[in-house]
Amino acid sequence: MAEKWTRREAAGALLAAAAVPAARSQERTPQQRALAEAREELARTRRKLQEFPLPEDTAPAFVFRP
Amino acid sequence: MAKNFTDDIFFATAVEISARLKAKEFSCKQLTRAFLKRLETLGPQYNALAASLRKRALEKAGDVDDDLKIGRDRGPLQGVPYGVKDLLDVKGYPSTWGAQPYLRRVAEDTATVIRKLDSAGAVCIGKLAMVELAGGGGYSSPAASLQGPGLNPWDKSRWSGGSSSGSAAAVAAGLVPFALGSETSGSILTPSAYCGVTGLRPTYGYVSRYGAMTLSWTMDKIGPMARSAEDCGHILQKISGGDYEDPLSAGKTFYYQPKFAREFKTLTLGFAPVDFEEAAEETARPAFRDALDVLMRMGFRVREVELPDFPYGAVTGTVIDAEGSASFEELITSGRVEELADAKQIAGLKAGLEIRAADYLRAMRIRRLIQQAFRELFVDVSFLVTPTRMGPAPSAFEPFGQGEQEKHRPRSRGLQALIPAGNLAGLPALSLPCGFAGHLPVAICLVARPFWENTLLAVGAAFQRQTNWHRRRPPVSGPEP
Repeated sequence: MAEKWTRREAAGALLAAAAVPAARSQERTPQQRALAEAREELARTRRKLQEFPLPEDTAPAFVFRP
Repeated sequence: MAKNFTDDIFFATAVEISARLKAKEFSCKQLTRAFLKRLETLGPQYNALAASLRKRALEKAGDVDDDLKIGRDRGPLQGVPYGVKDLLDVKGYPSTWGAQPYLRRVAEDTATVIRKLDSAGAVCIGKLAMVELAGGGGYSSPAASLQGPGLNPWDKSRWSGGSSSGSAAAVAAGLVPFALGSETSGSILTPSAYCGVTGLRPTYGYVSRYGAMTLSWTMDKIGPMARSAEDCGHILQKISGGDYEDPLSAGKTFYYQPKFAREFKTLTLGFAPVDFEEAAEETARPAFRDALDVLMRMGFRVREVELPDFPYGAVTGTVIDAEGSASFEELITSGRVEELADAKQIAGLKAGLEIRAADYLRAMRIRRLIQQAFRELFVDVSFLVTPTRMGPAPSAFEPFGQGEQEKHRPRSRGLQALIPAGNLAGLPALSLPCGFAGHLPVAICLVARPFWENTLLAVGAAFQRQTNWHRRRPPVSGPEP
């Protein structure tokens, strides 16, 4: 029960809980790692698009005409 | 009729071959058999051959011989064998798109471009290898192909480029006089440069994509890879034109008019010195500088330029990833995507389904500004010149970026992002072999405003009259003709 934990036990539990995501990331399969990297790449790309100062009245390039 | 050709025929231009055919030096069937034998024998050595179309090709060759007997002239491609990237359909034959999940896919119809070349009397003899799904999702190494890494005829330890790998290698090795490739962002220009062949990326919409695999509805283009700018002009004339089967067709036909090219003194060449002095790899700089000197002596006005400042890579990546993953949604959600060869590509395709509509639209809104910026750039400049790739072909057997030394960052952006930028704006581009870095070919690229192919081809043909880089042959030995 939590109320019976000593301060040291509580700190230990917190440390163990914090270690779980790190351990899980080490357990990821190569496919999961590749997908995580692809998502990170998408996030970086999205940031670059967001950083571009786009005038509000710009319509998209539909229908495409060269 | 006794065969009357030597090894030289395999490295002749399409125009030269057709003229010799019409002079009755040999029959179209003899010619087709000789090229088929060479393609089937040597093609697998470069991982360039996806499928031989022997039966269909010999039937078509017989038709050409019948036409020639009665004097029916179908133009400068009549009787000329050629190959197509394995994403163009030929009814009744496999179209695998270079990818394991489509290994048993058989085409139900024939692509418009192949129908048009059939009408011109050209003879399609084979489907040529490619990077799986034309690289959709982003691939990590040259091995991302059903046939294995495309091997470069100049050095089989080097890559032939992607994604039209087999098309470039087959033309370079003399297995076909010309081939069709496709480009979404660099897939005609890059392999053309690495293999030392002449490649033309047409204006978006000039050539119908009906019967071709879709990677990106708003970016895909089909174009020729050949031995000369002149051949590219004749091929584009035959494959261009409106097509109701392609809803994004521009509805225009290209007419190759080399005799009516503008006087060069009325044209302005735009280039960025930084591309040639800093961005290019050191071993390739002498070839690029010499090529620029040749162009400078042709009488153009010259202006230094640089690309407008846009996030070209981010825009291109978002558009291609969003459209590519939508195009392959069934493959991804069914789980068959796992059969692809490249883990990065599998992950990239899956992640692409998660791109938000707002991000795709933001990329397309920036794209509109890029198109506008190019319109403004081409007010003062007739065409742009830059190295097609900054160096020669990388290793065929290592992941991209492996073994590269840290690259020097050039002092300005020059025209270094012209491949993604030009593709976003739908501009035509012509890659011309311009020399060697060591034993490997390198190339320069000319880019102009939409529908200015005649200007690019006139400049390219003039460049090729003054140089002979496009006539160089790799060290290939094949079966007796």
